[in-house]
Amino acid sequence: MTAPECQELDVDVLVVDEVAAIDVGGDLDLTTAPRLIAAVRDQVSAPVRRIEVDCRDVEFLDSAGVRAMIVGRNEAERAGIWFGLTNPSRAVKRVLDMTGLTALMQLEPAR
Amino acid sequence: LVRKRSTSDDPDVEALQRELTAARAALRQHETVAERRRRLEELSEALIGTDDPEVVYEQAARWATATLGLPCSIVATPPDGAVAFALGSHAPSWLLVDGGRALAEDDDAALRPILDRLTRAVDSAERVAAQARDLRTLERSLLPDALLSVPGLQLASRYVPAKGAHEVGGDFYDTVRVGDVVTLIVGDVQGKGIEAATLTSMARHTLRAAALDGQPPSDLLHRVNRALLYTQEEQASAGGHGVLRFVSAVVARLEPGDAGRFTVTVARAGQPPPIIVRSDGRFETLEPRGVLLGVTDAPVYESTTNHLDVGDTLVLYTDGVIEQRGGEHNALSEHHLGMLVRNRRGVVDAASIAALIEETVHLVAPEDIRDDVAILVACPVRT
Repeated sequence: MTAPECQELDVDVLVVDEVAAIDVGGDLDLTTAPRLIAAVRDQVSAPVRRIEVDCRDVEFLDSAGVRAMIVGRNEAERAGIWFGLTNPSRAVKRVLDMTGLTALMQLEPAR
Repeated sequence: LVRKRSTSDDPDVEALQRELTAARAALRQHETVAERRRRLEELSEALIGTDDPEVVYEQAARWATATLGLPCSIVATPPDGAVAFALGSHAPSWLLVDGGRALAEDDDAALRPILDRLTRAVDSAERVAAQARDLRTLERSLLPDALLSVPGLQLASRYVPAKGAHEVGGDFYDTVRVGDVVTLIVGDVQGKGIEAATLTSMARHTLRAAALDGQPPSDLLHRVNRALLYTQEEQASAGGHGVLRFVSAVVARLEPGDAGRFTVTVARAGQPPPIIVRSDGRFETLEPRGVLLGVTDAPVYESTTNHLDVGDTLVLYTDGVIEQRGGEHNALSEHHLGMLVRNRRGVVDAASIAALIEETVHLVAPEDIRDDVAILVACPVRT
């Protein structure tokens, strides 16, 4: 069993034409979730018109990670900004299906 | 460890006493009072922050013994006429040096300055222990005192707190019996600690009240969802920056029919699907759609209906059972859980199945159960 000692999350943001693509990769959990929330908040206050969180490289997602996605979605929609997840990895899909959030998170494949 | 001061006839004891005296003399020769004081201070400093009072007492006695070169012990009540030093502000224990003998000036000077520190160590340990007791009490208040017996049904539950948790966990389970109908609930509130626990309590009692009213599982979930959104709205209007928390739950209602059969109605909100393992070894996961509670004001909570016969097993569990980190190969899946219970077919014993699942959770995540786990198992039995 691999030691879960150093949880890493990569967050890259690319804004083109008022569309923010937030790439997250690694473990989205209690220790790293605040970084996703912070990245979404930055774009909400920018503001952009669309936020896409690319989850292609998310390997682990726990309830704190799910919470970060919901908080991000709520804050974006309150500001009238479209928010959705793109390219969900298997881990992300599985958790979103279990939590019934698939429809709410406007999952989109790669454009 | 209170040593008799009268001379003993026993040659072994006399020899021991001579050895002790010699050792003491050797110690005294090599250590000045200042050195001994410094050492004892260092050691006593390390005691502060220890959260087990028993450990603090034991260490205090050992270190005082080593430093003074005199046998020291901790007693609850000092013997009559003994010289004793109080440790701890409330209900103090007493430090006896050499069975309660008055100390020589040097020893007294060495001991006095650190008694204060030992007292602080004892006080802080007692405080932490009291807090831990309060937390366990609070945690227990979130779980039923007992599972009321239901005719024709065996019920068992398990609650496994996350390892190393010094906070109240967010998982809960409940069973509510109305006549011959029983509602089984497991759920999970995001986060830990007192703040999460107040929400756990709210969710549990909202579900309970609705179940006692005889409402079906999906209605129970709608109720909690409304209650949560209402609470969030209140918090927002109070300008509070409370952490937004979501709740997941799965509810199963069991109604008795003919020949020991139960009709099972299940609704779920963001939890893994309950499993029915049939007496022939097949298993089914019950997957009505339903979203996490407290997320949307237009949720859908489907419900599914199944039958549970004598020899079948129904398992409800929170996501801690299958969401332990460890990579896909190490994670316990619904499939594994079904296989596990299936291997127990023929043994219709809810308690042993619940115990088996708990053991497996420990096995899958031996060092690091990151999340609480709540498990409910129901087996119809012949009456």
